[in-house]
Amino acid sequence: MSDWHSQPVRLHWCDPHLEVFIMADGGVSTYIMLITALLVSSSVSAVLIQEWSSTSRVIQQQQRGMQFSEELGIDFAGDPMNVHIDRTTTPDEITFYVLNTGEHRMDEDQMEILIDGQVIPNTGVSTSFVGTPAPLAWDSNVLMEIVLSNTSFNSLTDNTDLSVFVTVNSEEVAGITSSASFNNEVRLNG
Amino acid sequence: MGASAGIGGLIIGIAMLMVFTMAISSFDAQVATGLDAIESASVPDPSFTIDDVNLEQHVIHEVSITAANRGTGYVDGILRANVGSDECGGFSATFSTTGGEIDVGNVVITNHGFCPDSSTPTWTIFDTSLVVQTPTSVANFSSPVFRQYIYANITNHGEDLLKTDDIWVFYNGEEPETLTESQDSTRSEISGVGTNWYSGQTIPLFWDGESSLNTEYERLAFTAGPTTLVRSTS
Repeated sequence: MSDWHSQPVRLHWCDPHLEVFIMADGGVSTYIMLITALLVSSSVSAVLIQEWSSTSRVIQQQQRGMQFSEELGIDFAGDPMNVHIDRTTTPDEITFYVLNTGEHRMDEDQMEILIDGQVIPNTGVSTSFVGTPAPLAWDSNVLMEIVLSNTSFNSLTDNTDLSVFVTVNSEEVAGITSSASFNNEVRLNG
Repeated sequence: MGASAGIGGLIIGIAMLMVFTMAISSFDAQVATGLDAIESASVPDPSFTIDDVNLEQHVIHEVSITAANRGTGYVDGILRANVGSDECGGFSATFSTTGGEIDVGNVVITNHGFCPDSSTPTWTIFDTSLVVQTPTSVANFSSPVFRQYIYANITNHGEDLLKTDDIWVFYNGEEPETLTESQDSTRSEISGVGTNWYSGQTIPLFWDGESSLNTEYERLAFTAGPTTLVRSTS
């Protein structure tokens, strides 16, 4: 092809019909360039579409995660000035209530409780759901009674103010889990 | 040549349309997710007030008389009670008679009142004009059943309807139960009219506590979602 391109004038002089042939040859090269351009642009488009899809998927997942977190909530329920401490047990026991104020089920087995910044070991945490009949899971608006047992409570007197921090993980929903927590100042009352 | 360029342009156009479609669908999905998030975030917290809480101990819940103690020479009248100079909070009951005897099981309490303690009060039997009756033989009412009554009014000040099933009541921070469960099935306004607590609605509440425990509750707490209100009894 490059040889034909090198002698266009001579061929045009010899036979006017060759001009048609040369024009067709130019069309072929243009066509090849066009195809090449199309292939390149298609590849770029495919890459762009793929990247865009990935980006939008990631953004959507992040948004879903944020939305899911917003839909979770737990809160102290009851009278914060009247948190019961039972001194008839050994060690003393503190009882308070936590309400699932979110929209999704929480996992009470994945819960951490801190009293005045001190982690209460899971062996000293007893939970039960309140209601008749008692709910089987910690769903929305289900009230949970938490009884804490720890030797550090033995020295606490009535009217002692305590900081209660509770954090709990949610059950998995569509592959997403998150956590909710609250911090409340309460007063003991035997 | 012209046809090739046309076809090429068509293909490029279609490719661009595909890209545009993908972009639009992704954008739509993100907007939908965003709107869901906005909707869920826009639900306001419950807002209500405890207008008052009144607790009365040693309320005369029930009065009865046995067949052997109905007395004679009575007319229909009114029963009052007092412990010393205390008139048991204005306790009053009406009764009917048959042949001069007070009807068994027909003593209707019109004001439950409240006595200073759970000792049996002194009964005074009046006629309907509040003149003390002078019977042939005196009737003796049995010891009354005392209970603890709590009256309260709560108002939904939020813009959303609340469910009384979703509201928890605590007595001195303990014994939680839903507002629906807490109410007396026969005397409560909630009972029988559903569990909806509409915006602006004031619900009168009534608790009829067993006297056996006789715990004088000092504070009532109401929890609805993240909103908790506590009020001392008076």
